[in-house]
Amino acid sequence: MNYFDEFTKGIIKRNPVIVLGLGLCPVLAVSVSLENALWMSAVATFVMISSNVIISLLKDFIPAIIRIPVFMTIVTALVTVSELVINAYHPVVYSNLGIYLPLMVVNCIILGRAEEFASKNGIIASALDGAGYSLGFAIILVVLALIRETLGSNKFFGFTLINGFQPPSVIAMAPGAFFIIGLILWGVNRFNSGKRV
Amino acid sequence: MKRNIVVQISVSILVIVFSVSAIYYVHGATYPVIAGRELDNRVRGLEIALPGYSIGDEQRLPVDDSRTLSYWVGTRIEGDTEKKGYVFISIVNGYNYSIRINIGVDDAGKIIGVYAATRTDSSGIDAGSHDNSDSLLNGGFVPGRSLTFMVSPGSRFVKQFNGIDLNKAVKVVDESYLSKYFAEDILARNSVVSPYGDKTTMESVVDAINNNYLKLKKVMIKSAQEKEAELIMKRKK
Repeated sequence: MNYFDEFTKGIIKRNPVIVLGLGLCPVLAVSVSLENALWMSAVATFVMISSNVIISLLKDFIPAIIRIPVFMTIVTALVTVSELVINAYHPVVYSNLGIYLPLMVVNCIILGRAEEFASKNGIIASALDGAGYSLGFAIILVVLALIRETLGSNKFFGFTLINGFQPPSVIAMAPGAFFIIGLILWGVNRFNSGKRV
Repeated sequence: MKRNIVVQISVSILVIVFSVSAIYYVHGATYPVIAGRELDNRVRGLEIALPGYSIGDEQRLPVDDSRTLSYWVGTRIEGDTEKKGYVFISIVNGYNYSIRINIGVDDAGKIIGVYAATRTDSSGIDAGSHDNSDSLLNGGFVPGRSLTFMVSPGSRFVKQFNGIDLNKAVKVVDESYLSKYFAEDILARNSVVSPYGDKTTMESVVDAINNNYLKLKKVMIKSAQEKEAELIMKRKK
């Protein structure tokens, strides 16, 4: 098994958001600001790596028929722990992430990797797989947040960029998120189709 | 077959026990921080809603069989008279979770302070409008649905409620129809302005405030009558 491939496949080749189209809900919702995007990425990374490692450790003991409830229980515990810690020590971030933080429990990237990879592979490969996919998720989230915060709110990490400039706020709103993710998808597909030709 | 069932049950129980233990442990470690902050917010929220008053304990007014309205009575000495103020809580279902606001009114029913205890509305999509809490008066408009709930005592959400007379109808105006020159005029007419795209939520907030005030008004009238009776008794003596 090539560990490098296991790590990198989730970043570009099988990026969960732009190639597989998974986890779009938190990506669109939380990418209003860079701070939110980074925190969401951190939680996704923690949950994905931890759940993959735990599931990989337990894979030989989990009967196939109850594997999904068991995976969900593990993911729920990890998300709840993250939620409690963020609520206690970063209440502003907690309120900014809102419902999208507990919704990580049903994030299809996390459950998908648990089911498709961690339940069939070793601990190191599963950890690298989780790290790669969460990095792929984080890159798209941060790029989208960077575009939306700078162009839609005229800000960077909350600091105003150009004084007196009225930004096109549609970019910071929900339709703007769809437009930008659509453009990113178009760009990636165009690039990939060019490579195929 | 039996062995399989035993294994499945054992694994399920083990995973549940470990998960619950982890949550229980972290909850135990974080609870004092969260509870302490909530208590601070509660006290601060009452002080902001009723500035300058000494505030008593929480009281509950039965609304129906299952619900009660929480309110606090504050007192302030002005010269040789004692002024009363009231804080009541309005909870509204927002776009995302509930919106909890402390409203402070004087004994004439005028709002003297507002504190949004929870800011949970639209925290995902379109959040960030709290950064533009003064944008209306600067001629801009607020992108998004959030009700500017990162509330500091000076934010626009709070400012625009101050001075509103709850004995009169309170109107909601969508800020997208306003110019900055018109805005202050609207505020002077017992109206509040909803952030861009958030008129429905803002109307719910105002409705809840109006409804709860009507309930509290009975308490206020009773208190005023008692005070009057007390004064008459004093004069008679």
